[in-house]
Formats: sequence, structure tokens, C-alpha cells
Amino acid sequence: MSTLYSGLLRVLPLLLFLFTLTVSAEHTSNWAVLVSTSRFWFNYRHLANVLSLYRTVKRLGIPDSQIILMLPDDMACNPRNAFPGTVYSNADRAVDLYGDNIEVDYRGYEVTVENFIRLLTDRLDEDVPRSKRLGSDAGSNVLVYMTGHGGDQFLKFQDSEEIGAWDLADAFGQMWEKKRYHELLFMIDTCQANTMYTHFYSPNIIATGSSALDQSSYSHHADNDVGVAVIDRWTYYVLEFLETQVTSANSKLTLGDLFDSYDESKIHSQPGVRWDLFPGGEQEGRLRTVADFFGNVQNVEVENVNATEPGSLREDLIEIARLVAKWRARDQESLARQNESLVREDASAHQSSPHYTVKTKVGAAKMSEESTWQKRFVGISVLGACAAAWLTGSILGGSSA
Amino acid sequence: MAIRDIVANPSLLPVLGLSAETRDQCMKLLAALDPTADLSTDPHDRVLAASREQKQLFALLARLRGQNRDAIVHVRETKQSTAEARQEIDRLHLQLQNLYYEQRHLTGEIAACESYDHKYRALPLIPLEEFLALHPEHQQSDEHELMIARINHEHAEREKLEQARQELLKRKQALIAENNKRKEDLASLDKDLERFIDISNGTSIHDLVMTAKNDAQTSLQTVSPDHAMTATPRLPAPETPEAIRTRFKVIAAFWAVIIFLGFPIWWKTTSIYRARLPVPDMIDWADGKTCRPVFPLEIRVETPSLPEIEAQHLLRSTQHTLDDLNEFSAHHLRLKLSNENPDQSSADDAADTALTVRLVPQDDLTTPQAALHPDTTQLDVFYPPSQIPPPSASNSPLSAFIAGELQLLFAEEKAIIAQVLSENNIPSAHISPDLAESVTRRLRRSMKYADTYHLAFSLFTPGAAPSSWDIQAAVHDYITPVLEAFSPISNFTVDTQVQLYAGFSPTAPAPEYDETHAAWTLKKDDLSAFINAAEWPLSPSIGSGPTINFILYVPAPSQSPLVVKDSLATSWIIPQWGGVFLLNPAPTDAPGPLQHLTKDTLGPAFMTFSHQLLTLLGAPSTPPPLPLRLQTLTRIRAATLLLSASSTMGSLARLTESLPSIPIPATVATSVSTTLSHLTSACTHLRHGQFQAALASARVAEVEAERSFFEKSMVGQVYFPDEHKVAVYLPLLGPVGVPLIVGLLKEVKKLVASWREKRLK
Repeated sequence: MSTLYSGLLRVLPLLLFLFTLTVSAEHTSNWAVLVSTSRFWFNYRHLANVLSLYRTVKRLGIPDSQIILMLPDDMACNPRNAFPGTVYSNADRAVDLYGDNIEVDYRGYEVTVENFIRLLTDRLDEDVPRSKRLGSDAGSNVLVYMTGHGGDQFLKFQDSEEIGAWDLADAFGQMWEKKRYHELLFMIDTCQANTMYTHFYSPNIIATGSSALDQSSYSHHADNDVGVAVIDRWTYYVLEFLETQVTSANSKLTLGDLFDSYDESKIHSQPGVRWDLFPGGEQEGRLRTVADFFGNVQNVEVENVNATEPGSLREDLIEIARLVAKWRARDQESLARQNESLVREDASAHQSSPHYTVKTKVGAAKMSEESTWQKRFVGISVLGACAAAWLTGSILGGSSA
Repeated sequence: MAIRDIVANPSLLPVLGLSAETRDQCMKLLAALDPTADLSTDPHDRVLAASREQKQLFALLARLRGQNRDAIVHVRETKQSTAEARQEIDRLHLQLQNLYYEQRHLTGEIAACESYDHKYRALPLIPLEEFLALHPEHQQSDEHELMIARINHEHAEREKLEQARQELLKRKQALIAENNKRKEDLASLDKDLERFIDISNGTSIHDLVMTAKNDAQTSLQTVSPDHAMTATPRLPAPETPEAIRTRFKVIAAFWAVIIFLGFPIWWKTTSIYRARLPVPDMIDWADGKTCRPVFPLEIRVETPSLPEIEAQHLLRSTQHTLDDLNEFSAHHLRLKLSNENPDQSSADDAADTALTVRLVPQDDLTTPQAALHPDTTQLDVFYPPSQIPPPSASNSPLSAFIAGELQLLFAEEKAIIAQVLSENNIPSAHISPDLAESVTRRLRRSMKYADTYHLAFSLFTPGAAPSSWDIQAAVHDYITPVLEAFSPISNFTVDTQVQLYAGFSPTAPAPEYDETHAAWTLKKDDLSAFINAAEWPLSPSIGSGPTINFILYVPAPSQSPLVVKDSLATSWIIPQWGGVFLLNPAPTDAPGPLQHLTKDTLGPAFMTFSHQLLTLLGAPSTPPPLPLRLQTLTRIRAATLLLSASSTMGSLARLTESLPSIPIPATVATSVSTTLSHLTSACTHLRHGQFQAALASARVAEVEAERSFFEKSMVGQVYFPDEHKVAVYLPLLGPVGVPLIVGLLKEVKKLVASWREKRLK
């Protein structure tokens, strides 16, 4: 016991040291929500924006399972695409953004305001797979990137509906209430983008947008062979920074560096940044590294076989071995008992292996809980009432005429 | 002769004569020269004659030439004169032509002049006969005079007519003015009449007046029948009382439909159902006002060799020491003599007993010693019998020792619970910063609590082998015991997969060969890039609950053995995600790579996975025996779940207050009440030290709390600013609403007026 205690004392400084190493990156996981909101071929660039960013965060280590990619259209398979199966964000066509390893979580008409808000607040059906859920928790840094066509305090989704700045602020508010993020970086590239984050009220959010009120956000250049603009300006220069300077997930460049790299003469609009929700404001926020949001934190903990501190691998192994031995003994005992009983019950019974019960396949069953008869009755009565009304009306009308 | 017929010019006649003479001379010469003519004559004479003849010929020829020249000159002169004469003729001809054109033009002009149609011919005059009849004095005057007279007459007549027209116009204006005046009079008369009728309320008078009014109108119309267009439109006939009643009914019917059908439908379809939630209760739970979680740990003390009095005394003094040592009131140890009432200890009670301390006297000891039982929750304390405190002593080394041991055993648990409580803003004991940090680190490493965890065991190898493993047996032998032990806390499902040809990601640094250890090494910093998240199929499984990944990586034979640099470890934990184990198979005699991994080969890996599972599930590191750690985990989980469910309640309460447009279905209210009741029972169980029951309640509470917060239908409708609502309703309801409202107002006015009249009466 005393050796244990002294071991604990010995180990604590080491743990403390490790802890101080990790204290700067307090978050424990990274999530990225990348959303394009516009359909149709001439909005090629919005999908290219999102896919470029998808490539970047994936390159910096966020696994596909922690990236929610929402693409409302399939540019790669668009019949007007002169390069089928590919999406490019640059006229040099050096990198095929679509590639062969891409996981689109929400596609086509699944990209709606409702689904987006459900995703953020996790109010989804129980049977929605986890790849389509934002599984972030109180330790997660979340990157939300949106692009599309927007206006003063709204962003259009699919040319048919729009999300308002209030909705977005409420969704983030709910996320904060339920501790679904630790820190959140919100980026948006659309016309009058900076108006979209004006209503945010939940803490720990850094927001940045491409253009101020009454300003348009412009595309960067067009590819003559593709035939449309392939990327937006702000995204282009953000990506330029990320691709040329943030070369690995260990990069020490900060958000301050990223935001300082904005050049209005190149972007042709005034990008905005909002710090006031972040504890410590701009000073503190600028110190966050780019990799805090674009990269994936993984502080692996190597387990040394020779370490002897409590809870270490070796101690645990002994304990587990003991448990396993006990389990085995119990198992054999029960096996023997079972065999005995089996033999007693049925002499001709085979030697049964008690390990696992084979899963019996369950046949198809009706899942609906609602009573269809009741619905039918209601429907019939409504129809009958309508018919009666029509009949009386026609009779009365006929008699009067 | 032909030539004589042709040439008649006298100047040429000598030429003709001469040429004939010349011809004769030529003939003579030819005759003279003819050798056959006369041979008799002297040749000399013949020559002379010939030369004479020749000379005459030459003379003739000369004259002919001269005449020829004269003739040519003459011809030339003739030509000249001819040309001159011709020019003269041309000029004259042209003149003639011009004159001819001029003549034609003049004739045309003359014709035009003759045929010019003057206006005076078309003057609208009275016919000549009529005029002459009127003025016979002009009978004799010529045409011109007659015309002038006629025109003058016409002019005079017209001026007369114009004057008449002006007069008529003036009359018309006067009539219109008069008309207007009368109209105004009538209008004022109307008002006066209404007032009069109002006062007298005599229908007969009203009718009388109405007929009078109609008469006035008809008279007005007869006065100015030509100006009907400018006159007032015909006023409607007076409404019959029946029509007024009908109109009232129509308006009432419309409003009845609006109020009793339209409004309820609108209300029903646009209102949001919000179930009533016990918001103050929920906030109280979240603020920790309703329940302060306490952890009274029951410790049974068995003193088989001590008399009860002494045992009681020892117990009391130890308890006293313990209470002195303890700074954290929420977590305290309660000692209890087990042989006090052995028949009352039920199975539940036993399960909630945190520890059994068994005091065993041993003679050959000078100081007490303690030993933990590895399989059970029992602590053996060996003490020299001399150290039993006498009943008089208030403190003894033995009780101090026992208290110290117990305190140490539960130090980590206490720290974790304090940490968990302080994270939820519940004041708790101050614990040493070192311990607090290690605890924080462990907490951060462990998975978020879930009702169900999916365990995914994956075998990755860069080549084709090994391609099979005894996974079923390995899981059964090494993982199932731990899962069994955890079964009161969570449920587990197990998935496995084998992935061949799983390469590192291209950006990941390749392992390096280390000569000193004869092994391939990975740098610790690069381990985070070890998992090729982009290509290894480690997608989370379908279904609720998080996945814990365990990766067994068998390196290629060319890169074996593979270890972590410096520490030479072969396994590591990825916080909140899973664990990795590098399996370096022992070199075998069989040629080629290892094809099948047997259960024994997998043993170390799966033992490590079990350990990683313990860590990831948040089991504390001390005390070492698993049963104790599981018990501690039970308490920690109960506390965590209790607090998390409470804070979810608070979140939900604040959410419903801050978002007035969000619907709250009845199921949420049910879930909330279930959560609150289970929270209460969990809190009660905690207070009584029944941790298993507390955990069970807390689990239900957590599940229900999550369900209520994440209720699917609780997605607020898209925010609608008020101006948008106006923009939606106004075009729709404006055109319909204005006539209805105006009609209603008129009727109300009428009703009020009649009511007032009645009151005046």
C-alpha cells in the first residue's frame, strides 16, 4: 500500500507535466460542418469552395466521420460538366477535389434549413446513422463553414428557402446550452456575409465572413473549359493561406495570422471578424491556432509496459488476467453443469457449445404504430361529409333554379 | 460609156478627155513598139517614132497628173464646204428642236392655266337661282359682279348666324349655373329633410317629402333635358326595411363565418403546441438546489477476534479520525460493525457496501499492515494485539492507521467526484492541484457516458497476411469478463473486421529503423497520424451510441518489429476514440508470413484492449482490485449522470423560455416528469448509500433527459420577423377585410344611432 502511495507521488509530477502540455489545446475532438447551399450548374463554385475546404480539413487530420459535408448538387456528374466525375477549384485543374475518397453526408434535396438545424441541435430520428450526426460534445471544437447566395441576415438554401441569422444564432445557442461545442469557428462566404453572425449570442464563438452589409462577395476566376467560375475570392485566399502556410496539423499559425492575411484589395470586399463572444475577446481569440479548428487534435497516450504507476498497463494486465482466470473457471464450471444437465435431459443430445447463441433472424414486421383503421374511418367520414354538402348544395341550387 | 454616165462634173470632164487621149497615146506607143507590126521599116525610124510617141505620152501623163491633182484639191474643197454646210444645218435643227419643246411646254402651261380649279367655284354659296330670286337687281350684271355680290351676301348671312350661336351658348351657361344651384338646394333640402324626419320620425311625412323630392328631380330633368350627361346621376330608390334587414343578415353571416370558423381554424393551424413544463423545478435541479449529491460510503468492519465493546470503541475512534481527516463533506465513509446484526444484511446491502475491513490480530508484527484482497472488496488489516486501544484512550495508532489507509484508498475517487461536482458548479472540497489535474486528464480521456457502446475490433495489416484471427474466442476470453463487470453501468455490442492491404496515409511519416533496438520505430509525435482516417474503414456503426475502436495492427514482415520510439511501447490510447495495439508476431519456423492469429497470439493484445477499455470507460486507477474500481466507477457514473441529467433539464428549461416559437410536444413533458422523478429517486438512493439503485435511476433519468432535449419535433419553425407576417397577411386579407370591416362599422353605427334614438324617446 505504501509503495502504491509513493508510486502515485512519483507519477504525479509526470502527469502534471503532461497536463501542462495539453492545457493549451483544451478541446478533445474536432468537428467540421461544411455546407454549400446552392444548386445548379452555375453555382459550381460554391460546391468547389466546400470541397476545397473539405480537402483541407481532411488533410489536417479530421477524419471523415467527424466531417459533415452537405452538398446540394452533384457537380461531378452534372451533364454539363466537361470533365465528368471531377470538380476543380482552379483553372489549372491540378487537384481533382472529388477524387475517389469523399464522403458526402447530406446530398441533394437533403440539404435543407430544417436538416441543417436538426444536425446542429441533434434533433434527428433515432435511426439516422451516426455519420450524419454531429456528435460533438463539451470538448469539441467545431468549424462551421457555409457558402451560397445570401443577403442581409439570410442565406438561401437550394433556391427555395432561407435560413435567417436568428435561426442560426438560436441553433448555436441550443448547442451551447447542451454543451455541444467547446469553441466554435463560424465562417461564411456569401454576399453580405457579415450580417449572418450579428445575432449570435452564445459564448465561445469566433465568426468571420467574407463581405460587409451591402457588399457582394465575388468569384475569383472562371475556368473556360468548365465554363463557369470555379471558386470565390474570400475562400480562395483563405485556402491559399491554409494550403501554403499551414502545412501540417502541428502548425503553430494562429487565427490572428489567418485573419491578418485578408487583403481587401484582392478579396474585393470587406471581410469581417467577430470576437466579442469569445472569452478574452480578440486578444485571446487571436492566439488560437488554425489547427485548433481545421486540424484534429489527437493527444495519443503511449502505454509503457514498464511503468508501474497505478492504473498503468502492467497493473491492469495483472488484474485483468486475474479476472480472466476467474471468468474461465466460472465458464468451465457452468459448461460442465450445463453438459450434465443436457446429458441428463437428453441422452442423444449433441455436445453443445455454450459460447454464443446464434442470432435468429427476425422476419419482416410492420413498423407502424398508428392504427390505420382509425385513419380510414376519419377519411371516409370527411369524404362523406363533403359529398353530402355537395349533394345538398346541388339539390337546393337545382330547386331554386 | 459607163464612166461618162457616172462622171458628170464639168471640172472632171477634161480629165476624162485627157485620160482617153493618154490611152490612145499609149496604144500608139504600144503599136510602135510592136515587133511584129512592121518589120519593113527602118528600126532606127521606129525607135525615133517610138521615142516621139513616148515624149508625147509623157506630156500627156504630166497633164493628167496635174489634172488629177486639181481634181483631188477640188474634191477636198467640196468636202470642206459640205462639212460647213452640214454644221450649219445641225445648229439650225437644234434650234428648231428647242423651239419645238418650248412650244410644247407653253401649250402645257396654257392648258394647266386653263384647267385651274379655283376655290371660288367651290364656295358654299346658295345656288344662283335662289340668289337671283332674292336679289333680282343683279339679273343684268355680268358674271364677275354677280359673284362679288353673292360672296358679300354669304358673308353677311354667316355673321348673323355666328351671333345667334354665341347668344345660345350664353343661355346654355346660364341654364347650367341655374341647374347647379338647384341641385345644391336639393342636397341641402335632403339634409334638412333628414333632420326633419329624424325629429318627427313620421314615415308618412318622410314619404311625402320623398315624393316631393322626386318631383323636384323630375322637374329639374325637364328643365335641362339636353344636358342629361352633366346632371346628377339618378339616386337609388329608398331602401326598404326588408332590404336593410337582409343586408344586416348578410354582414352578420359573413362575420359569423369569420369568427366561428375562420378564426378558430387560423388559431388552430398557426398556434404552436407548448406543453407545460415544470420550469422552476428544472432550473432548481440544474442549479443543484434540489439535490446535493452525497456519497456516504458504508464500510463494514469485521472484528472476529475482538469483544464487541472494544470493537465498538475502535470503530468510534477510527470514525472520529476519519471525520477529522475528511475535508469533503459530500463524500464520507461510514464505518459499521458487520457482526452487529448479521441477519439484517441483505444482498442489496452487501452490494452497496463499499469495503469490508477485516481486522486480524497477528502476533509477530510491531506495526499494523494492510493488504487488499484482489478478487473481492475486502481489506485485511493485520495488527499486533497490543495495539488494541484501551477504552479510555481517545486515540490510538491502530485507528489512525486504519483511517489513513481508508482515506488513501478512496483518495482518487474523492478527487474525481469533487472534480465532477465542481465542473457543475457545485461547491466541493478543495483537493490538491496535482491530483485534480491527473483526475481531469483521466476524465478528459474517457468516453462520454452512453447507454450503449459499440466496440469495434479491427485487424489491419499492410499485406495479405494474416488474414484470419481467432476473434470470437479472444473476445470471449479477454473482453467479455470486463464487459460482464461493466454490465450494470452500460450495455455493449461487439463488431469485428479484418482489413487487408491497409496502408498508412501518404502524409504520415514512415517508421524508421533503429539499430540499437533492432526494431522499426514510430515517433511519439507522429502517432496521431498513424491511423489513416481517410482510408481505413473505421466509420461509426449504425445505431445510437458511440463506437470505441480497437485497432490491432500487424506490421509487414519487412517492418517488424514495430514499436514506439524511446519507450518501446506497442500500444497507445487515443482519448475518447479507442486504442491501438501493434502486434509483432514472434518469428516462426514456418516459411512466409503468419496466416492465422491464434487466441494465444492475440492474448496480450486483447488484455491490453481490456485495459484500454477500462481507461476509456473512465475507471479510476486506484485502488488496484477491479471490484473496488468498478464500485468506484458506479458511484462516479451515478454522480455524472445525475448532474448531466440535471443540467440537461436546466438547458431545456432555459431553451423553452428563450425560444417562444419552439413547439413542445406532450412527450417532452412526460419525459421531463420521468426524469425529475428518477432524479429524485437517484438522489435519495445516493443519500442512503444505495449506489447501484442510484445508478439505475440516474441512467433512466439521463436517457429520458436526452430524449426530452433531443425531441425530434422540437425544431423551432423558421424565424419569422413581424414585418414578414404583415407582408404575408396584408395582401391576402386586405382586399377581403376592408369591405367587411366597413360594412360592420356602418351597421354598428346604425345600431348605435337607433339605440340612441330609442333612449331619447
